[in-house]
Amino acid sequence: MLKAVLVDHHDSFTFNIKAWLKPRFNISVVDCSEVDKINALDFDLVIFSPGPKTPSDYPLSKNFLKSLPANKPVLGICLGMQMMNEIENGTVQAYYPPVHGKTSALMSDNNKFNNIQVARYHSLKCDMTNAFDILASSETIPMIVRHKNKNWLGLQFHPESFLTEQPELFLQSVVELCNR
Amino acid sequence: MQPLICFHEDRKFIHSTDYQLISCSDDQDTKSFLQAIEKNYAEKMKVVKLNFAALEKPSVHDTRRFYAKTPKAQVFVLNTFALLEQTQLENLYPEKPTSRPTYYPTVQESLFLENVQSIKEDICSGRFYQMNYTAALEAKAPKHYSQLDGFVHISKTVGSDYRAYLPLGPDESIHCLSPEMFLYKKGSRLTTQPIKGTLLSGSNISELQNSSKENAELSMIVDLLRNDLNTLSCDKYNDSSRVNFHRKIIDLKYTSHTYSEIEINTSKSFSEIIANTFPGGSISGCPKIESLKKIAEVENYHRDFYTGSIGWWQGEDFCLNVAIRSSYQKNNQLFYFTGCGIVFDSEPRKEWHEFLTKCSFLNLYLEYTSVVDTLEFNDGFTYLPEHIQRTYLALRDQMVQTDLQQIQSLYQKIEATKRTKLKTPHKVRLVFAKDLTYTAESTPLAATSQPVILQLIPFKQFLPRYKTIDRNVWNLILQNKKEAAHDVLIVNKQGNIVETSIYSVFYKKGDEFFTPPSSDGGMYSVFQAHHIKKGSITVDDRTYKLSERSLPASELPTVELYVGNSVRGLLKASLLF
Repeated sequence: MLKAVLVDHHDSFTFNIKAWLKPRFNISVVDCSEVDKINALDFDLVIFSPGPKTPSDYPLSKNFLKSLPANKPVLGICLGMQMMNEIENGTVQAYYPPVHGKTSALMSDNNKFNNIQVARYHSLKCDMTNAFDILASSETIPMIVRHKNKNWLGLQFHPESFLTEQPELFLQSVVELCNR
Repeated sequence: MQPLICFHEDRKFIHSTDYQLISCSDDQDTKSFLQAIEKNYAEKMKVVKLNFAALEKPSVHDTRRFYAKTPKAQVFVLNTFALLEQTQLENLYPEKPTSRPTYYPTVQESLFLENVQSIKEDICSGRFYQMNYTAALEAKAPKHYSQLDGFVHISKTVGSDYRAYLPLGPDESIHCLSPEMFLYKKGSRLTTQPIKGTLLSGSNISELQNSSKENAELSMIVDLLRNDLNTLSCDKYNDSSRVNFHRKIIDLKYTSHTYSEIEINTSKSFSEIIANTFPGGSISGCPKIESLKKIAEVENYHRDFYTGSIGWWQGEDFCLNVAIRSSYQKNNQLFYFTGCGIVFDSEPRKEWHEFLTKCSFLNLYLEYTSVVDTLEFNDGFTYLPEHIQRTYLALRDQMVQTDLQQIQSLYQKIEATKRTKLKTPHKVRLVFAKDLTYTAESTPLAATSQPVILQLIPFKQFLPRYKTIDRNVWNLILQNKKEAAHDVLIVNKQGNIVETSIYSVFYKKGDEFFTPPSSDGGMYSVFQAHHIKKGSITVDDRTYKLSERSLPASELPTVELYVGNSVRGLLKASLLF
């Protein structure tokens, strides 16, 4: 079993993420106000959870993410991915109309991801810097991104939602991240 | 002791008159209160009531008002009880209700729309995805009114499988007609069935099924409740929650909804389950914590028991509802509560419509009051399309199953009959029974151009939306009219002019005409609707631009006042001094 720590930004979906990763990960949940208590060396993976509001509303989480060594496997979901982008000087802006509790199909050169329906809960979107490769998108919004030099994976959609098809596929991607 | 009734299984009800009521005090921790009950009364049948904020810490700076104020958690420990069928309940309480209360919203349409707008802005800024916004209605209980009689005899007509009647004191009771199951636990299996998505009155079921907005509304809550059930995963079963079905239709008589089912196996106790899942996702919002903060900001009252839970509990098994579609009586005061889920694509006016739709089942408690329409006949009915529309809406408002086409052909038939009989202008008064049979009364119409003298009267309650034979409110108001005045001019709670007892109000300011918007509380007026749609009105052969605008009473000295209706047209008006 791999060990992961999840930084919780009060999204109300934290335990769904735990359930999604359960087959391969033991997960400890830490409140975003207490990230200073996390010793990243204790974990194979650090997860930055989705959450309300904007990345700049969580300076502690952003600083913690920034402080992690480049080879540390990190998964950012929704707000978590937006934090990654801001740290690399990308911008995050309002997305209108917001998409909440609806699905759309991934567009990807990778057959594995192409056409899979994924759940979306976001009112912000990332303009990615070239620090990231965009592996899949939907309606021109980056949906799966990977950092070019750091071991970071960002998902704009919610892999833990019951609306997302084949969640085990994305679990596999997270496991691969830890094996790199 | 006063009877207590609560849904149980197999369409039976728990009925008890021998119980002990244990309440959790404000300073006591709710979880430890429930743990103590768990320990001391494990095998006893219990009926539980948990308030919406039962697990919240009370805030010091709280100015919200209380309509209901009851202990945050209460448990009826039943010494004896019976499981009764609906018919057995009816035999036990044969008294049928003879009177019914008339409820008025405590929130004006304008404030409701403003709050929905502010919730939508927070959704756009990413604060939350969905919030359940609710409001209260109030009524004075009529003489000899009994919530119990209504509960026993009328509640069966609406699909409210999770209904309960709880006596809380000598003149205090909760009457809950919930169609929604919050948590059901049998052995290790725990299920929840959130309801979201509402069919508006007058719409087709496919509109609900095909709506991406209503779909998303329920999907978000399903994810939220999956999360809440996943917090109950335990070592013994190591289970994760699953969705058993999604978007089934539940047909209530006054509306339809969609609902889903989520399940997990858990060995957690009642108190732990409540502590992890309360308040329910479908009546708070998603994400839950931010939604709860916003609820405290925009709702001007404490929900108390409303949107909490009521249900039974015995051993490790229990079933709790979401305490919605509920009223509360204390002495002669009655309150009813209802609400809507607000998402990004909510249209404020549609949400207000939904709010009223969910109140409309209160109408099941009333006898049908015949709908009235008065028309001008002058070789045909004047403003016929608007009359048809209004009568249709008035009938739907009282849950008469009909459609626009049916009303249209009915009016055409009436018009044809009148053409053969009436050779001069007449006033025709139509009174419709529930089965759409009608009576028609015709009186010759004499031309009048006399200015109407009006007496200003402040009136804080809500006025009827549609014309029926029930003129009680108006008769009461007209008792205060002085003889020198022809009619009264109503000023609402906000100080705006509304209408007279038979006319809509129009006024000229500068070179334009205005008329108060319906949100100021007037009756649906054919004459007004016709001219608002047209955007103009003709006075003395001159046509003026017409738009909706409130008329504060303080502006009266600065405007030229007119009144009008579909029979008499537009007349000049003046105030009685």
